[in-house]
Amino acid sequence: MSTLSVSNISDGTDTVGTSYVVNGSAKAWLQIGNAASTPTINNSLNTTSITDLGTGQFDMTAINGFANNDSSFTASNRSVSTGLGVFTSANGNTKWVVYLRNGSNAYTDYNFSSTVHGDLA
Amino acid sequence: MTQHLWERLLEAKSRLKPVQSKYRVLFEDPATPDEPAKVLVPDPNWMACALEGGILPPIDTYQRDRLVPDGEPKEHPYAEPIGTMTEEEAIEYLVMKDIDPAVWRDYQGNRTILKIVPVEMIPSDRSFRNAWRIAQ
Repeated sequence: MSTLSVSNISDGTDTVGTSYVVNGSAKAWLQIGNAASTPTINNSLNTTSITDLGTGQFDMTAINGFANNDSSFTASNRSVSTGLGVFTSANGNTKWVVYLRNGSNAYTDYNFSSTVHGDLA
Repeated sequence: MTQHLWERLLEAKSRLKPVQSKYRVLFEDPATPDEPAKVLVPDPNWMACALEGGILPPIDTYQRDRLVPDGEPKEHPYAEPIGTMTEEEAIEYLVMKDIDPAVWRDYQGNRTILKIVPVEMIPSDRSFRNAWRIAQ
């Protein structure tokens, strides 16, 4: 594999520093389907597995861990607009958890997507 | 010089077809006996990397990295990749990587707290999901 070393990237009109692109890219993402029956990972980057912890609670693990626990973990439910959505948090340098709740604040099995931005180990 | 793990993953993602595993790992955490059994689902892109070989780092690098303090440099992204695995070997690797050693290595009780099962054995009816236990 060859390496292109440049400080900036330009389309002829706008110019952006390469570090913006490298640091701003998602370092892990995944999309979960069939959450209400047999959860599966439909597509992903840099994830090893998900662990179904119980209703509406999932644990994700990265292949290439993160530099620290200060990464940005986000997620969104892909099933309904009335759900309260999700809560995410780091769990060590390779894991993060997603909790999904419905409008009554009860854990619910929604399909969801999750993304991590931050520094790689 | 060994290519960084992240670069190997990006290259593999563009080249390999995902492989949905026929296995799931069912386990209970002895530290939280009141919680339901957990089900680990392998990532199909990761499984493709495991079967291909030359991408994933040795499992012992992850185990040593568990002991590295937050923010300190890790070993696994820079380790020489291992060769091809069978699907069964990949699941064993996954157990050692993603499940706490208290479950697969240190537990000394009488209950069976970890089982590798075909995906068909996991119930699709989740009505009583929070009461699931491993049958003894």
